[in-house]
Amino acid sequence: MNLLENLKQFKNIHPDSGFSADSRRRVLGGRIRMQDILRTNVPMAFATLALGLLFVFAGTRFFTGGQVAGIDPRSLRAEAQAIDIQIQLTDLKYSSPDNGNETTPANVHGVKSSMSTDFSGGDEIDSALEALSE
Amino acid sequence: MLEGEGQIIRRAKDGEKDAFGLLYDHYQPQIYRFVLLKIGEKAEAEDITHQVFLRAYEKMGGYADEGHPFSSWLYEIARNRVTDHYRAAKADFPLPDGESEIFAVSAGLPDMVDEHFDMEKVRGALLTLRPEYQDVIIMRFVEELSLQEAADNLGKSVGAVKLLQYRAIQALRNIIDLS
Repeated sequence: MNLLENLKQFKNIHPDSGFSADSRRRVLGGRIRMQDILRTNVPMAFATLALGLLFVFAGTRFFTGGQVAGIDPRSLRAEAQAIDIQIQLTDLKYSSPDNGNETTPANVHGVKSSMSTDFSGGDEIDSALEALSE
Repeated sequence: MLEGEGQIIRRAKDGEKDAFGLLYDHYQPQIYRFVLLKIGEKAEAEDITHQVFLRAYEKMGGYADEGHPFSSWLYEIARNRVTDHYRAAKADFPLPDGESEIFAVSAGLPDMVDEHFDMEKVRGALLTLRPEYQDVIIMRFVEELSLQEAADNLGKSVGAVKLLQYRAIQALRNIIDLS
């Protein structure tokens, strides 16, 4: 037996032509490739989303005259100026590591332990902070 | 290798069905023989061959030419499918009884009974070899690929393929002599 010659004869094996034609048709036409789906649908989805956002934005501007209800800058500014800012410094206690005595801001250069102020009292706050830092 | 294969592969990667059809027409018989000689059953070989090309078509967009021939990619898919087939069936490489259906569709085979008998023995012995030996024998002595092509397809060096084919042929001879 010539082994190598016998092996070479196997090259004469061919698939059935009916099977080949059917398989070829099913491979090329039977399934939709994931990459084809992504290639066509993802850009379309992004384009639709972008268009949708554009419409929402344009519609909002049209119906509110350029200003979104509730965030009118003029009313916001007026509201901000009307706020009476109060800073409460209460229950502020400091522990002295040396003698264990408690020191309150009232003991430091006469700063009040409870202080009510607005922005006009900024100097008072500055002096209190300076005293605390010493 | 298919003429103008690089260009055809690029077109197939871009989703051109006709280009993949050319690759199919060129490589399908080769892959079918590879699978059939490792499985031994025509219907199973047809099913696996179909799956190989279906898989290749689905993954074509991600195919990266890394310097290996396109066929090596197809052989790799085919090897994995054959492994899956045996794993699923938990088969111990059973040989079909009686007249082989492999040759029922083959053309140009000699009609001489003795030669047919010899081919059956070789085919049966081939089925019992280790997958690695089967691969190198099919590529080198059935498909008559060059050493370099076989090395590319098997992911081995030329020297390793030479050694592997020597051992594979020796193993095949031993099985035939014993039978």
